[in-house]
Amino acid sequence: MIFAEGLGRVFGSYVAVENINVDIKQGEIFGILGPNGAGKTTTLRLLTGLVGPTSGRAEVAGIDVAKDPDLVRQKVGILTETPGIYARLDALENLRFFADVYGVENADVKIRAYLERFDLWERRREPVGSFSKGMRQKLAIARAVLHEPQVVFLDEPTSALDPESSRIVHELIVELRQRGATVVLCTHHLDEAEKLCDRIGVLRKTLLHVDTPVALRRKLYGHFIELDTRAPLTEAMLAHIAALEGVKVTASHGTRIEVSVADMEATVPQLIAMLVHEGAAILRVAEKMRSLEDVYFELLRTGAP
Amino acid sequence: MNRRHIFAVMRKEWLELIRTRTLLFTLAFVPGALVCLNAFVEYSISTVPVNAFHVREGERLLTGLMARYPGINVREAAFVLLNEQSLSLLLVIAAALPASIASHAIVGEKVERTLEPLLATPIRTGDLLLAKCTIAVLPSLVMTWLAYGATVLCVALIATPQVALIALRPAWWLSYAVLAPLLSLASSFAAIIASSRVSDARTAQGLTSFLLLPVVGIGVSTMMGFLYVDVRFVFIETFVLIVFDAMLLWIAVRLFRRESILTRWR
Repeated sequence: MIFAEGLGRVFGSYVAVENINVDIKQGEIFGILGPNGAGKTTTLRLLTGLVGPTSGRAEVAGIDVAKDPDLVRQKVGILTETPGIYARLDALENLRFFADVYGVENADVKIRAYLERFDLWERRREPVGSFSKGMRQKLAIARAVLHEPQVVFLDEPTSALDPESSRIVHELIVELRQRGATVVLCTHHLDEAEKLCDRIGVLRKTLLHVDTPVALRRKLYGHFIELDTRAPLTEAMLAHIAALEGVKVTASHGTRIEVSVADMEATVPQLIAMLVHEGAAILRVAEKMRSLEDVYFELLRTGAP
Repeated sequence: MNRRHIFAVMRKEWLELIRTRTLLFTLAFVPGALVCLNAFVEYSISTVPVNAFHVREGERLLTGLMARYPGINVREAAFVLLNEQSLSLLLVIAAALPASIASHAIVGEKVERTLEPLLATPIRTGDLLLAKCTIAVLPSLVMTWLAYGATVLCVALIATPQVALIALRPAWWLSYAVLAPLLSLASSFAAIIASSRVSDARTAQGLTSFLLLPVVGIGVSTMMGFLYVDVRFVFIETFVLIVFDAMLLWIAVRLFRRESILTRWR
């Protein structure tokens, strides 16, 4: 649904983004994480045909963004980093304008459904200038998806929202995926990215790494196993663990130890069998994951895992 | 050309226009004030007896009018002179009003950060500019025509029917029918050119005024009596304005680039 190959954009001597390679499937929620100035906005603008690339190419919904940007814009919906709602118009007029532009069928029904969903129906006739930041953001999200686009780009959709509204937006994003739409989600909320996204790309001028949240954590830090035992492991047991190939004890606190393993499927049964054989009473074995936040900062620090 | 897009933008622009008090005030006040001022001065002239006017040798404008319209007295010549100046000024205003609206319509979108979502829609640049220009031009034209009608009505009521007929001569109604729309379009296009290079409405209006200096110069020349508005003048100016408008439109469409507007405006 979205394909980019060597995509880049230079403004004068300033490199905004470079060599972006990505292939996002239909019905996928793809998260873009990156610090301020990493090129998230430029990437969205490139993929929506708002700016042209200076290198590489991209296709959205099968259309080359540089060759037919108007057609690309017909197929996508975008929430820009600022809501960009017309302050002098009311909520209905704002949505009606965009419904007219996109030729939305049954626009009144859809507009009402979104306004009710976002708890804005009661205030539909008030000028949007009187709305709070969160209310404007919700209206802008409704505007971005009103025409049921094949691809939705959301730049910080929950940045101004309270937890309840954020939850409604999260539900909407999942619903978009169920409907078959592809969602590109730029966010600073790592927990939001982890919860919603099928894959995540960490962006700093280029996509440093793209994978599922779980795979990202494993690729960067390997697999970690946490073991709880009835009694602390003996020195001999610890020595035997260390002797196993691809296994390293990373932490040991009384009855709890943490080990890194290179190959989960091959090593973990061997490790457990060895400890049971040595007489350890194992109470719990669990895979321990590094947080996405750790992965994110590590990627930004090192450039790549 | 996509009519659905054009009408959608026009409707939105209209709703924004009628809710922007400063623009409404400008739209109503400027032509209205000119009509009222003209009526007041005409009334003042009408209170002066004809024999109180003394035309000295060398008062070129009045004597010229009396020579051009045999049969009018010196007071009627004063009415005509006043009307010629007012109607010329009203044409210049027909050019100035759309500039205010068009500048606001484009720079205003950027200032209020609504431009990017708008440019992210499939509306083509030509359709967007056409819709914005139409809403800038139409209300200004209507106000200009109303002001012209009101001026002629005041002339008929305060001065004499003969003076009113001079204000209604083909050169003037042709000016308002043809030149006023062309001037308004020139003004809108100039505002778009200015708007695509600056980021606040006042600077855009200032730059627009600069681009419209040739038009203003012609208006001032007619007011000062250096040019007389006759049918020949209207035809020449129509031709000049068509060329000028085409040139401005060509520049406006080329300068109004989504990418440069999004990335250069700060």
